[in-house]
Amino acid sequence: MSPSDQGPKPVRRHAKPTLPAGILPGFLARRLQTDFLVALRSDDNNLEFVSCADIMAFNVRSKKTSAILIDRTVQTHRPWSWLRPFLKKHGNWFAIGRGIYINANRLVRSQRDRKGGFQLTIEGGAVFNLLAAYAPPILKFLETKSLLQVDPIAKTHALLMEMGLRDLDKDIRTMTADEVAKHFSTASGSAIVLSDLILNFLWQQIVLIRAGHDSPADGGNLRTLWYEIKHVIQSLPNIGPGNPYKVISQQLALMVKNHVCSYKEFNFYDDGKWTIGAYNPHVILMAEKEAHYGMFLKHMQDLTGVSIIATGGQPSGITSEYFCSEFRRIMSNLPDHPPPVVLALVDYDPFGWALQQTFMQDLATFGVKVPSPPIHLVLPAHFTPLELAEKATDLTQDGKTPPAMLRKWLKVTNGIDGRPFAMEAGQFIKIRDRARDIFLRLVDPFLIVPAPVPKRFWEEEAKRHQSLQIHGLAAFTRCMVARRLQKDSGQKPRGK
Amino acid sequence: MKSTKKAKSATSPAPRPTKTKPKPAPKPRGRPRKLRPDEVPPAPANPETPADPTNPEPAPPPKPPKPPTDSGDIVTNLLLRLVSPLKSLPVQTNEGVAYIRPEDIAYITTTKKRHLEIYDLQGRTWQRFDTITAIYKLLADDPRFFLAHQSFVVNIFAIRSLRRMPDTKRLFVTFADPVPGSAAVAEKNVATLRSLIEL
Repeated sequence: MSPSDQGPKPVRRHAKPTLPAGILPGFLARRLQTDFLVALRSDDNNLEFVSCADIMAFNVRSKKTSAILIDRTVQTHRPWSWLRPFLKKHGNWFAIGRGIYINANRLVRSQRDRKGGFQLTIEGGAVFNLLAAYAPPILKFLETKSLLQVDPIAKTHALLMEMGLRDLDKDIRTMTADEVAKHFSTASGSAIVLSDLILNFLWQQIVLIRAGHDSPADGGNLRTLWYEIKHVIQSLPNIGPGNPYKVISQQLALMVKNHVCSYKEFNFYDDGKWTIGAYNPHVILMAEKEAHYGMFLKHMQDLTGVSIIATGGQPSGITSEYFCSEFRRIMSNLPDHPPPVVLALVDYDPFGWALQQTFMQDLATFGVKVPSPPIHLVLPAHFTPLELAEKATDLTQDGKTPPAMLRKWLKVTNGIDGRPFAMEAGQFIKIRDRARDIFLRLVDPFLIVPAPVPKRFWEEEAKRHQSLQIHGLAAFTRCMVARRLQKDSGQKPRGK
Repeated sequence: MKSTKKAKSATSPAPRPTKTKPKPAPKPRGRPRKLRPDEVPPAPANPETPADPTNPEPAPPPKPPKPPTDSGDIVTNLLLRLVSPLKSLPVQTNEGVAYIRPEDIAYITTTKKRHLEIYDLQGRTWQRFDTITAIYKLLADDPRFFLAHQSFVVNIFAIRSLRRMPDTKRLFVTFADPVPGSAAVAEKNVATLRSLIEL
């Protein structure tokens, strides 16, 4: 049979290349950095062919379509209506507003835009603004509920983001004023958001400490931390009227309260007055005034072995945290201990009671659960009528107490015989024997080891100090004698 | 009681014989018996060489060649090495979300704070707040990921060495620079890991 008898040869059509099942369109092109070509109108009405992989976005405006490349924007040869169906097969192009379409396969980052909406970063570094109304299709494609948070998210991290955490690639302490302004200025650029700057400084320190570096305030206090960033803040021209040191204290207190970090991580020095009791540690005797630590608290600890703490006004967060941490450590060695109880030696006035409530809140914040309300030592019932008549102060006359605060306090306590009068804690401990007896009567139901306890803590401490001093003196004397002998032997002539 | 069987007439055709499938021959169990030298069949004759006229027995037919493997499978495997079939993995940053390509991930591990740390091939670290089991489930459709240890998911294509600690005798894998650190491998997973990376 001759070839001419076989009939016309079938026309071989080139089959369209298909991707293996499972590979999403556009990803292979992304990896190979090459894709189908798009015709662009170059100068002199010539055509330039550019790989779609090099195009960041398309801009459709006034019936003209432009391709946004990394360094220029060029009009395309074909209109968007012609390009779109083709692009849809090879990628996922979404409108982000203002006539701009981006390839969601090449999305690298999304975050909030200070000027509104979201900021989308594409491969190559191009940044676009996404209007919030155009977000749903992109969210559906990304299979996520938010462009700002990945579900699940830690509560602490969500809080930090809300407070103003930033992605920084440099230590704030080494930033120039321009760099700080770039990251922390307001949307208008007129001022620096000090709280955001300090929050990010604190977070950077925490990350460094957790990575194994020494704390910049090791053994120091908050002021030590302030000195780390002082030079940066002082170089800024427009920080506003806020007190930066106060902002550090407030931001750190907020972070500690929400369990983002702890004061212990910074290894701050605690100069608070407190001691955990040896015999009845679960009973906490707290005082508002530091002077009462030596005047009353120590004696009561010697008698009953309870834990004592003098807050010195508003409780310091550092002191509260360190006290609670040690308290929990001691109590963990006593698994069958009764629940903690608090006795309060605070002024019988609105401020004293508010201070006491703050202390109770601090205990709860740092993990010490006190189920029952505090027991107040300074109450009208613990004074004689003569003392109340002579020593009580009229809260309405001094004008220091806000009326709402006074009303709230009177509702709880009824003042002194229904009148807005106050008594100081100092008047209570003036008569030592009476104060001791009232305390022992109130604390007795809670003591496991009855009073008086076998060893008095502060007396033992004083004895220990004394014996240390005696030992030290003996060593001092021996060394002085040895030195004198050495000196004398050195003066004698050598040889014959 | 009335019989329920259908009555058969005299003119009805004979019932068709029921076809019973022949039972397949039982498969031989165990290893085939080793043949004695006199039982070994002769080698098949080369078709190019003329048959020996003195040997009247016909040469055994040549064995058919092995069918070629599917080239599509090879291409798929190569493409899967190059690019993941999954979408980008969102990871949490301080200000928003970053989207990491799964093929760019070297390994994933847990931290003391029970977060996830994701190390990419460029040496950068990212974080997420779900569990190692949840992330492994998310990446399950990509054959490059393997749960080497209860705290480590590794990208098998990024592994450069498998080593044993001299003091603790524990196994770990390392990755090419600049990926920091290493990933532990549980003893029970070593054989599977080695089969996956074709050792």
